[in-house]
Amino acid sequence: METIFDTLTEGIGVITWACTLTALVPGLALVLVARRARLTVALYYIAGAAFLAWAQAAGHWWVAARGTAVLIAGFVAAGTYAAAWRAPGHSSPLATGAGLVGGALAGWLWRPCVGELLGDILNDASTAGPRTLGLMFIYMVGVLLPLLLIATAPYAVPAVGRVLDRLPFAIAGAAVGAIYAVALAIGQYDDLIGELYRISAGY
Amino acid sequence: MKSSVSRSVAAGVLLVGVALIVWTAVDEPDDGLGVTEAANAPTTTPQAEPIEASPTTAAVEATTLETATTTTSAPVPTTTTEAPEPIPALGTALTLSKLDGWLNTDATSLEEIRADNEITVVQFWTFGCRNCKKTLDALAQLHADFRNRGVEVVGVHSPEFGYEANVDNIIEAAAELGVVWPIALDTTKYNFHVWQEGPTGYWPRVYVIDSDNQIRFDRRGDGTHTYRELYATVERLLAEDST
Repeated sequence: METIFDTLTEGIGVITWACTLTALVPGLALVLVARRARLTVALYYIAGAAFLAWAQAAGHWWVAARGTAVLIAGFVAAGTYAAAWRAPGHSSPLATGAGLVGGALAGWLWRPCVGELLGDILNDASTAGPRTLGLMFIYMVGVLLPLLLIATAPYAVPAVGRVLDRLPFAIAGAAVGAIYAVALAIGQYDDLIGELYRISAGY
Repeated sequence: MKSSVSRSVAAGVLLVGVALIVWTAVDEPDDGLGVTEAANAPTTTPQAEPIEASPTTAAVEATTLETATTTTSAPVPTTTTEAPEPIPALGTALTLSKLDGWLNTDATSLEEIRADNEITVVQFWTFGCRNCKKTLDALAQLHADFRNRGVEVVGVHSPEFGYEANVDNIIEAAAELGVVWPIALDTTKYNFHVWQEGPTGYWPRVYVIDSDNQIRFDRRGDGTHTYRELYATVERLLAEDST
């Protein structure tokens, strides 16, 4: 239990770190776009990201994020935003697919700065599969907690839901998604995030 | 009814989430982008002194607990009955190629450094990575304790972002962080990707290469226990080489 809690808090602790933004920013945009299925998209996004990140460390996924694969990823990313926009409700396959594929893309592209517990998960991923997969999911819940908060806020505070339902929020999410997809396709995504981080850090 | 239950659950999730974020933010000391405690750690430990004379560190604890070869000055209970398992070789180490140059050394290749040392510790890092910075006190300790005993640390600087690729920024950061060991400039991340099998790489990742160019230690992450193991592994390999 202690390990689970520590793993969760280690994930939460890196939310604002530059290495995390590559996974967090596209997810936030996707949840904003999915006006009628935010929670489904958020949950599946976390699951997809955790699975791909774990699969890479465990040696079950060997496609490198380079060359043609990244170009294709750009188009797939654009597709996830379109699907999330069109998803009519929580039970829609479009919402599930958008979240899962969007999350998997994020997990694939994510190159984390590795802390103590994430290091243990990655080091043991190939020899202790189920346990490390579960812990990776917990870690990702921490890292991507802002997605869950945005997705659950409308249920807890309906006024927030009314604000998030406004078109400008969805359009802002879509704009970020479009930039993400284009930056991915032309191989500039890391540099884009790095530039944002550099400006915010005052370098 | 259903609506009020889901609303309560959502409110609970929201509250717990916000509380966790606040608690974590308050609990974790921000090392910012500048100098950490690690960076300020003294790196001038006298070389000839026994390990017990060094400042109390995780590495020293590990040495005391996990190795049978420490140069102790105090009596140690001789309860060990079995020799430790030999450290397995994990494969042949690659070279470092397509580098943009070196800092803190006159060497121009990993081979030159290996030729002058029994053991080489290679860490992939980048100065903007907070987890990498957390490892620097352990590496500084290792470097100080072993540099005159045939061990060299090599930091392969593989930038994640553009500003980390600027050599002036690297030099400035290395000085601020107290990185005095050789730095290989892997600006294109060629070695970062070639050394780390699989589709992705991680910061930090540390390897130990022995005198036969075999990898004897390979770990990801900044774990305190990882760097204790690193220290102990270097000690054991030195003992192995001397027998």
